[in-house]
Amino acid sequence: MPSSVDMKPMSYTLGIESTAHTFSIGLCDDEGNPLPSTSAFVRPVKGGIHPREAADHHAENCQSLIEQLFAKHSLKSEDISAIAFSQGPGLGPCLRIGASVARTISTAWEVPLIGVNHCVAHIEIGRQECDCSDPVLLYVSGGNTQIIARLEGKYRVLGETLDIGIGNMLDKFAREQGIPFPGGPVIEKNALRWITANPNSSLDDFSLPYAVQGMDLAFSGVLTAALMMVAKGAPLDAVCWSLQEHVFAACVEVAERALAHTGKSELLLGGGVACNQKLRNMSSMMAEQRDGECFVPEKKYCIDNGSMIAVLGRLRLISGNEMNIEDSKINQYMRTDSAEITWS
Amino acid sequence: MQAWVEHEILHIGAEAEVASGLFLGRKSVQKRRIERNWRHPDLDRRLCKSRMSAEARILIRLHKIGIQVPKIRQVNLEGRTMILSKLPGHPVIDLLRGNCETPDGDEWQKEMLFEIGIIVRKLHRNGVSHGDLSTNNIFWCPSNGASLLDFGLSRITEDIEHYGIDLHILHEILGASHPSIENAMQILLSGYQSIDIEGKKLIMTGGGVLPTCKQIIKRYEDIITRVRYADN
Repeated sequence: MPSSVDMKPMSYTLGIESTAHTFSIGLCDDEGNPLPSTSAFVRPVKGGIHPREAADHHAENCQSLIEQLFAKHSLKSEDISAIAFSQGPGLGPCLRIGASVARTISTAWEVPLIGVNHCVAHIEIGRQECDCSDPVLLYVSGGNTQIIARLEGKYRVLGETLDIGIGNMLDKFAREQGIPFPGGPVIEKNALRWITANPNSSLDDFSLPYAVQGMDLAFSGVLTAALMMVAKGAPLDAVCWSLQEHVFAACVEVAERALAHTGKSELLLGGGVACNQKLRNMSSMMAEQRDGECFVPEKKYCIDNGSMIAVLGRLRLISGNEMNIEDSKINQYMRTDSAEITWS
Repeated sequence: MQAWVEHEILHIGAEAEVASGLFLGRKSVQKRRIERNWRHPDLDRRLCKSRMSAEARILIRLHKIGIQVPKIRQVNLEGRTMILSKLPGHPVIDLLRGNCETPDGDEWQKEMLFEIGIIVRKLHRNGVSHGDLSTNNIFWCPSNGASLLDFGLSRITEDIEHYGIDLHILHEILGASHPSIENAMQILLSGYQSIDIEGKKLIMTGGGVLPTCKQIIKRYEDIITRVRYADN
């Protein structure tokens, strides 16, 4: 066993996530292994996320979150070798808080600064955590629903929602039923309760539109139909069950199209909706049926977290992408395919 | 004689498995819609049925008009299979990736994209939206031009949205899977616009006016800005 004198001191890359309702600070070590983040979430009492109120929340919480993170991992400022932040896409006011904190840390501690793409961070932490090499990512969250794969040196979007994100759709449905944000987990519970109590229930009795539009998806029509079904007196649990069966099937079908189109065999899930067990089961069955493999990161790395930003930031830095403060402006509309992949 | 003699599996798509073989002695392909066990069986059955009947109905319609699509030889709704004639050439995805024999030089790519534009416009002029225009579903060869297949997500419609989405799918696939071809979508769109006569109304069989070429391109440009984080 090496003595403590022989051991190289560890240094860490910090990562700040602040694209939407989550403010999170995380880190990864020299080898890119993520460590748990500390996070705070905005939970709107009614309606959706208000960008300015979310930004206020992030600003109020950032100092104590940094302190908690440093206490949790017994860190000192000298242990930090770089600072990464999510530069986009996301809500402008929220992104600006994360970027400001990152710039401050970079200047005060004299460590390199790097802005990264939030969507790409979901892929990279998945690749790192699940040890897969060239996956198709089914990225399903509140604001985003995208199918992403590495093609010709960039991460490309092969299909995406043309209206609202799937998580947003589930939350809106839940909100109308008086279920508080986030509604997804309650819908999942209701659905399970229905099918356990009525194992022979026919989906034809609760038929909803199918959200596939070629390689793309659209969820607003399903949302309207599901709301009308409840209004006409169908049991809420049954509609929750039918809603999950329909929209997850649509997502998995589009993911399967992307696998077939690209000839890839690995499927990776990411985003908050990837915490849903039903979606996880459907995805792994699909991959299995194609003789492929399905990978799902732990829940804490599916939802928005600072550690994934650190993981991608480290990859970008070691492949020579250090950023000047002048170039660190946030970009609310940052495309997944806007940056070359400079790492392996 | 056995009606279907199978040779080999050509492609395992997301929608179906396609095999080549002989049907009553004629070179054909068999398209088998495998049950998707990850999907609820009721939903799987509903989708399979509606997609097979849409495909059969529309293939017959297009074949009558003279648009290059596979000819139907047999449909088995219960068995989830369809036997179709073979199309000339290769899938555009394989041609663009160099996975099969291609003509010399680069000029053929432009010619191909232009001809794809023409056949898609012909489809739209006849009231049909394809619904899944990926480069897997378009065949091409220098002597026979472009042909289309996989009409499971197609519909007969006068709704401009579906035509706009057809072009949007092409735009996304060309950008994501084949980004190295410069101006691919512009070349395709110039083909798309090349066969219309200005100001002439297109009436659908059974009534209704179809959107014009210009209107569809306008809608397609709108749809591009609709996705997340489009370059504004």
